[in-house]
Amino acid sequence: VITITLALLLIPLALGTFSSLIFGWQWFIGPPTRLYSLFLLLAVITSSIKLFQYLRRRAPPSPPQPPGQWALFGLAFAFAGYWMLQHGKLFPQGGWDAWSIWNLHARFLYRGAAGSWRELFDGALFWSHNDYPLLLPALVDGFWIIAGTDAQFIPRILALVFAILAIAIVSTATSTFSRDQRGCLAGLILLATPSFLRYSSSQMADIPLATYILTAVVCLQFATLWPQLRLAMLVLAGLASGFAAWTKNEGLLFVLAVFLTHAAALAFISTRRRCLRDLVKISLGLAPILALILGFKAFLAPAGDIPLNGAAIERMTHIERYLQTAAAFATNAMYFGDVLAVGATNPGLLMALYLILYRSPSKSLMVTSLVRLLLPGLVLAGYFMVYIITPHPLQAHLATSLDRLLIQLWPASVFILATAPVAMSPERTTASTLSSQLVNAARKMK
Amino acid sequence: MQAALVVSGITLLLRKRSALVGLIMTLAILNLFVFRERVKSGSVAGVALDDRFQELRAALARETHVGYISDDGSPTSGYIGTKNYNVTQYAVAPIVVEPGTTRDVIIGNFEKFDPRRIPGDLVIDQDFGNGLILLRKRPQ
Repeated sequence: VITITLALLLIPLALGTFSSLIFGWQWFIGPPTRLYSLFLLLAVITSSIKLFQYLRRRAPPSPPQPPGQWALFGLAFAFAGYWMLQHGKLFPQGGWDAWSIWNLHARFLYRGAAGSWRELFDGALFWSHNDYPLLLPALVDGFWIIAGTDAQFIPRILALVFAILAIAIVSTATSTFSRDQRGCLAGLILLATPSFLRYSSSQMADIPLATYILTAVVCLQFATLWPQLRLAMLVLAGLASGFAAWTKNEGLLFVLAVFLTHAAALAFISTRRRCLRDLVKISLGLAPILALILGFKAFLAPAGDIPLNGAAIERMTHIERYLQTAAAFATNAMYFGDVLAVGATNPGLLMALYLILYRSPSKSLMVTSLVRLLLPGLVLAGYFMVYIITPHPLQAHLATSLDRLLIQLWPASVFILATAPVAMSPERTTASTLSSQLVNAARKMK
Repeated sequence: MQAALVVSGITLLLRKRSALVGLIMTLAILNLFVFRERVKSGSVAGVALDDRFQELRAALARETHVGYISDDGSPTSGYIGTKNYNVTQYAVAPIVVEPGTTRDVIIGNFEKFDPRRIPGDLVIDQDFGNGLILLRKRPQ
């Protein structure tokens, strides 16, 4: 399972690297030819294989697992994959956001490679959110260049790849932590989220973003679990966080939350110097992608549509906006995963049953897991405040985006919750000692 | 009585480990079937780009910006937001489609095309059928 998990973690990172290189080439050198693009892809694949071999040599061996539940999970996976493909046929160009934002931007990059791709940032196209980052469009562009055609099957396949990666990473990474079969139940919970499947086959960028958020969280957890791979995992977590921010603007909020929660986690289990060292290692992975994003925002992209200005601060004083947003969050949580459909069960309830199931084997809790639970909470708080300051009509903004924002955090949340009861870290601590650690940390701060 | 039975049933289920695993799996698989039903009952809802748009794009090979008019109530400046406009922009990218008759070349995407309703300073350059028209400004 460890081998598969490591391989799965490297795939989204390889895709993100390829996308960034293609865009960087187009921006700084000129239109990438098919040969150059193929060369870049092969270079990324070769580097990923080398990295995989390095990680595999240092990762601990995993116990063999009986195939029983995994076979059932595989069947459910195949079933969902088939119906996702069928659903994709209903949207040949993707859902509204897919074609009017992501695939439109990819078309500018591919068809305008000689230079007119910069027209993407024309003021007339503000409605297509031309300030959005370009990981997904550049990735589609890269594969279009290699294929020699802007055929629609390429973004469709990439959308499915990201969804499959998210489900597979949740299940295998959870089992890597627990050293048992509970990962297939965790994966099944994600698989049983109808809106996750729907947004995947509609080619929404929220699913690649969700996959990068998940990858970063898993790498952070592995950094705690495997001291011998701490440096590599922290750098990879930084890289994945950077790719999250290069996929959608919400990813920048995630980067901030990663730094805050990682610092919080280390405050309880480590010295301040080590905390700083770890944050530097995360920054090493993040830096190149952050530089790309900053360059993109400074020299290419127009200003975003949700500015933090005087009017936004004035909106913060409207109490009814808080009530309206809180009500929408509550409603979306209640109907999360498209459970308005008859017969569907809220995936949150499935997660609760999972936590009841695994409550007894161990009274121990990983402090890092508990603190990392703050991560989706912090990002959600950030999303909440974005709704408070949005200049768009609030009700319409909530209605058209909130369920997608929740989906962005769902795979990482499933993984964090599924691994929370696991006690196998060298830095583990018991739940009973958690409170005393918090007290000690508070004393230190005094 | 029924409520008591349900509560005792759930309590028993939660205590029995294998029953709880079975419950999670059953509910998850039911959710997958709900998704399947949703897909089966759905109809093609995305955008469909026909050959007319390919011909339009070929006719605009030299342009970087074009104007846009319609009879669907689209504004002639600012945000249009109609599906027809967005589809047109998607089809002709990387050419930028601006609202109104701002440019010498203008795309007309009409639901019911009526040549008499075209602004006086424009002439029809090409008709791609079904209301998709390429217009040009009359030479001064």
